[in-house]
Amino acid sequence: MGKLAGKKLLLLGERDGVPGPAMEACLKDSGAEIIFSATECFV
Amino acid sequence: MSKVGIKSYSYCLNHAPETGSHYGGTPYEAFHSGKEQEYLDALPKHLQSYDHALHYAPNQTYIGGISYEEFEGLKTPWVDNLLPDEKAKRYGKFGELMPEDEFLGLISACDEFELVWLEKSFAEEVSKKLAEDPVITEAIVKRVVRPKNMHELSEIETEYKERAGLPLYFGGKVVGCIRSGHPTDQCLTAHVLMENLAGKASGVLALLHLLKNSGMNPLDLDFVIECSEEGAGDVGQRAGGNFAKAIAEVAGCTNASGCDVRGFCAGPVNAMINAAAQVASGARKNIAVVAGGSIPKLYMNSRDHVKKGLLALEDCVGSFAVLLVPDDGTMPVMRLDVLGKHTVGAGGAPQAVTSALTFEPLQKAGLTFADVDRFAPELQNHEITEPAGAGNVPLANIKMIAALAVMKKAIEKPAMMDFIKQHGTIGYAHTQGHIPAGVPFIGPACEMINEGKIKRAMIIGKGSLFLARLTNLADGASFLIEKPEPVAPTSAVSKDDIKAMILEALGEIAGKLA
Amino acid sequence: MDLQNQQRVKDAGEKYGTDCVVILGSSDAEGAEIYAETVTAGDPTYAGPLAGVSLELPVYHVFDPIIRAECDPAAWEEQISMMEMVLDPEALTAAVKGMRDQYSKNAIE
Repeated sequence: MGKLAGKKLLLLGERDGVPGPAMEACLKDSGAEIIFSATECFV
Repeated sequence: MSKVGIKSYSYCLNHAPETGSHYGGTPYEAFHSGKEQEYLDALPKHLQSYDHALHYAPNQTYIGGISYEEFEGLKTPWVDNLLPDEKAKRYGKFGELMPEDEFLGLISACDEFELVWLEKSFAEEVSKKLAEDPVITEAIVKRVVRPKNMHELSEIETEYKERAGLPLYFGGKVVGCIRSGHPTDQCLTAHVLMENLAGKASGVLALLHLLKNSGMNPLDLDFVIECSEEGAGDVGQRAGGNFAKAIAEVAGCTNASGCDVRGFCAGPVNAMINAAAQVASGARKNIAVVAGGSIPKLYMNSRDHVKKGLLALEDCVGSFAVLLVPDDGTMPVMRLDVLGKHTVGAGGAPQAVTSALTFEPLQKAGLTFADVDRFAPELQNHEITEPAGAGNVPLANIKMIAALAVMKKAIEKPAMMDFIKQHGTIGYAHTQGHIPAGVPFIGPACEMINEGKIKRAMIIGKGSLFLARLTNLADGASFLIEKPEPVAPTSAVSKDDIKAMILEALGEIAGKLA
Repeated sequence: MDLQNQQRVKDAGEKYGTDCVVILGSSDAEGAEIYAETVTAGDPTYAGPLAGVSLELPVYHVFDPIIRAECDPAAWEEQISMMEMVLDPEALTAAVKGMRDQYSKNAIE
């Protein structure tokens, strides 16, 4: 059982960093529920 | 034909600190939320004077007052190492940095619907100043002082106090207003119309400088593609357009038509590809790709600039224009056979985006990363973004290209920093959304190609489509600019020539059969 | 932080408490720190819905080894590995950890 099992994930990505969908792809099988994933852009 | 010539380019800035500090997205939002009075009270103390803006190296680089190569060698921070007076002129090789009072005059000249009212003496004064600008036509100067656009201060006050208008400021005083375009339509509020008219006016300025730089008669311009981030329309068609024709009209390009292309910050690169394809196919004789700038982007990061006691430098509306014509072998060319295309299926991971925009087109062209002398992905001035925790965006993007080059085994990992230094670009553009995404470097790249200093540059634009809440996708596009190669003279082939060729071929076949 | 995203974090935090885990993909250490502060102690700019709201959520940068260990390795390679070369994973991890150590409750270790 992973450490994130049962947790609720809030993913706050950045366009010029790691975007939300990239984190989603990596964490979708972590046993946690992804509540939302967003990407922000500062420029 | 898969290449087109880049005949000329222009880059302009309109200094707009007072408009920006009232109507830029961040201050405007803060004003309406009522929660940030401290920030709003402090902002005016952090504004940069016009003279300071002229001495600020990134601005001079943008308008071509100093060359990009000179800029690269300057001591940083630029804000503490201002340029000497002889390099701080209003006009550069590419365009100009216009003061705010004249910009308000130009906005008024771009108004067709009595939406802009300027106080009479102010209008008269700025019309005289605008008359001194070498690209501003007599017709435009006259439009600033049209009786219907000039009003008494008392009438202006009634308009913004009682009729949903918005005051315009200069020198700390009200000098005019933008009127509401409709009592209920949210697409025609004074704020929206101000954005659109400022976008139009700054686009006009860029187009006028483009005509000057190219030596082209306005009547010879065939088509305009506009690619800003503004949306002009009404409730029935929120962003119906068309900025392009509106801009061409004021610039006196009566034989031109035009249309708008949108795609967030990827808009200009998509517009360049669009325009180049039309010129290459012969559909248009020439096309000016034009974009005005954005008021909402002014002072976007100023909350942090104020908090840290820094100058709020995001005070210029930016614009650009590029003229594309058929390739005649004498001017830098834009290639159409290898374009960076970020597909729907590519996904939003930075490596997928970077690969689609750099590695894939280069591979198709039989080139590698080192064959591109300069990459221009993002050109935001990091002295604006870093204090706001948004990092150095140009550097991060060049690093992405270098990291991908390592992953594709085109360079060794220890060589990454050298690659970044040699093949990267340093940002000098205002945080005007679409403007910094690659296109400011078209001018410097062409200059460096003409001077024999580089052979090839890649212009990249990336757009954050997800901001519109329509899709989670990002977008991106890229193209190569190269030094010209001699064009073989095209000889016309006549019907008789074809007949002779067929007969000759048939004769050869008959000979083989015999 | 975007006001809409602040609202979404606030809604989730109020519904699920510190069972929520916030994971950041910020590019800049200072930016990451402000975001981490926003979801723990409250919005330091006082502009958004989290102004004065201390959710005390456990917060990590995606590069934090604790989070990385929970990620699918193949997906990491394809989606994020390049950015490890571009950004400064240690500085980002440390910036977020600083805020987490001060303000988060129910952190996973």
